[in-house]
Amino acid sequence: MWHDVITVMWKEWKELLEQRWVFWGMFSQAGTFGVFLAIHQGIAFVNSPVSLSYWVWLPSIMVMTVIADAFAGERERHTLESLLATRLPSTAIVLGKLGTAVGYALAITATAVGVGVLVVNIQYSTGMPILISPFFGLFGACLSLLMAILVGSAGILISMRATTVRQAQLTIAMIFVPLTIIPASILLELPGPLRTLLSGQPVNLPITEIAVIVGTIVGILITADIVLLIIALRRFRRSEVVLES
Amino acid sequence: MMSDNGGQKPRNAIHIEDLSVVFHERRALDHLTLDVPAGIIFGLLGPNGAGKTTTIRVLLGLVHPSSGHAHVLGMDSLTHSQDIRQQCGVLLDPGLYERLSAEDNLRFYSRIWHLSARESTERIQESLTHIGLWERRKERVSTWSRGMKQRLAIARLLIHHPELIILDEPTTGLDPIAAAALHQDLLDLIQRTRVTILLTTHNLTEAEKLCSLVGIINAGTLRALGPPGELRERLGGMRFEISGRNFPPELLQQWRQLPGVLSLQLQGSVLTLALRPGTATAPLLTQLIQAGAEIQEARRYTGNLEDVFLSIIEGQ
Repeated sequence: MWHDVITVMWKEWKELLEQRWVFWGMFSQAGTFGVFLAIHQGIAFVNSPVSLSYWVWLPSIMVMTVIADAFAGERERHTLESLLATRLPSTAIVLGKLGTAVGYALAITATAVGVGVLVVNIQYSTGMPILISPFFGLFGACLSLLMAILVGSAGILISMRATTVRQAQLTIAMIFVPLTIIPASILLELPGPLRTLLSGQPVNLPITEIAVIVGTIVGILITADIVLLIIALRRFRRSEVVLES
Repeated sequence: MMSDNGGQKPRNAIHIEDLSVVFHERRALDHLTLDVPAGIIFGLLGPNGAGKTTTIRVLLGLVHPSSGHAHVLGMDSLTHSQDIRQQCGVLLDPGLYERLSAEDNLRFYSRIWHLSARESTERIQESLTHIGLWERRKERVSTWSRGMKQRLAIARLLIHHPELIILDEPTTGLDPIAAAALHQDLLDLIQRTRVTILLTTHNLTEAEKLCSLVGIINAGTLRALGPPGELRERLGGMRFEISGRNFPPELLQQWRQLPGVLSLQLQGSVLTLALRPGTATAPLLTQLIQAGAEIQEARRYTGNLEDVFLSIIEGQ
């Protein structure tokens, strides 16, 4: 099964990297998020909730640009039925496509963050390296991954029914662009002690209370991810997907 | 592989029994019953919308039947669709990834069928060399001609040495040279291996050239089944073609009423009659000459597969 997932991902990555816009997307995001935002925010880039909100927003948007193509693109290019006529299990097809979109989104986010940290260190050099705190990094990476999976799973559901990539992109954008603002807004309203913790400073709040707040946010996202992923896997029936073609 | 017959190789590669598929109250297949013996090229002929593609989809478990059942290589298409797809090579539309190179297209399929890296490399080289495209393996498929793509698609479906090959209108859009090359590939393949090939087509010359058994389907029902030669003899009837000028319309009108004349068609300077077996043609020629027609050539022949096909489809 995992061999099949990797096979689908192999093909998806190959196809993705054959398109020039993918590289331009990577450059433009690294430029906007990594350079412009880092210069604008200064040292806050590595420790503010505003910066963290971009860790949520950026992968969500990046997943949307790729996931619309997952099934609608294959349908448009007349390759979907041939793919469904192979021995690949349905689960492997869905997970392979989702995995590629999530991987692509996380790669761009990581590149943009890396460039940002570099820019902050050059622009605001204090003689000591300016780094992201482990808590900030771990929490941010967790949120990026979970949001990417959430939007990706929902995108799969839309893409498998859409006739064209354009239709899938429009539907996904209309539904999810407004929704991605919600978790970003929540991050901006984090309790004071947690904001302090994000900046890498010690706080007086007991560790259990921090764990409850962080656990609740992460737990909600994990639950939503699992539910949407199960729905996507169950709704992906070859017979229905073929008849949509 | 799960098999419904205790692991024995079935005599029929495909067995379809009383199969119906209904989409939104439209009957795509209507009580279709059909057996395809193993090891032959079988042609499924029919006009657009006859049910050919739906039949393929049912066989591969991509569409569920409303009633009846289909067995492929001894496995039920509803309960063992995954195992069936494991044993099949399928060509649909031709379904290549045009952004990828020819080599990557084949590599993807060899990975799907879990070929080892060595096996995969050997088979890719062998198949691309066989179709004369090895030197162009790194090129994007989108830059290739339709004929080259179709040959690559055939090479791709053969990469895992399937037991059953399904080709949905494989020569559509190909020029005569590319189509002839593809025909030769298929004939070579059936001689080299013991695969079964199911081919759907509108091209009756192609079916006549390649298939040892054909089925004619229309409105989801099988209308005729048999070897092309036998169908021609049984259903093609006798044709009488006369080339000339000044065919008197009144005489032709009279002929239409004759019991031995099934149909009469005048196209330009060619008069074609479909006759019942045993109908004498000499008196017809005499009548024409006496009525003042100028005859250049006359010939009698047995109807070809196209005539069989048209008489079945038009006779509905």
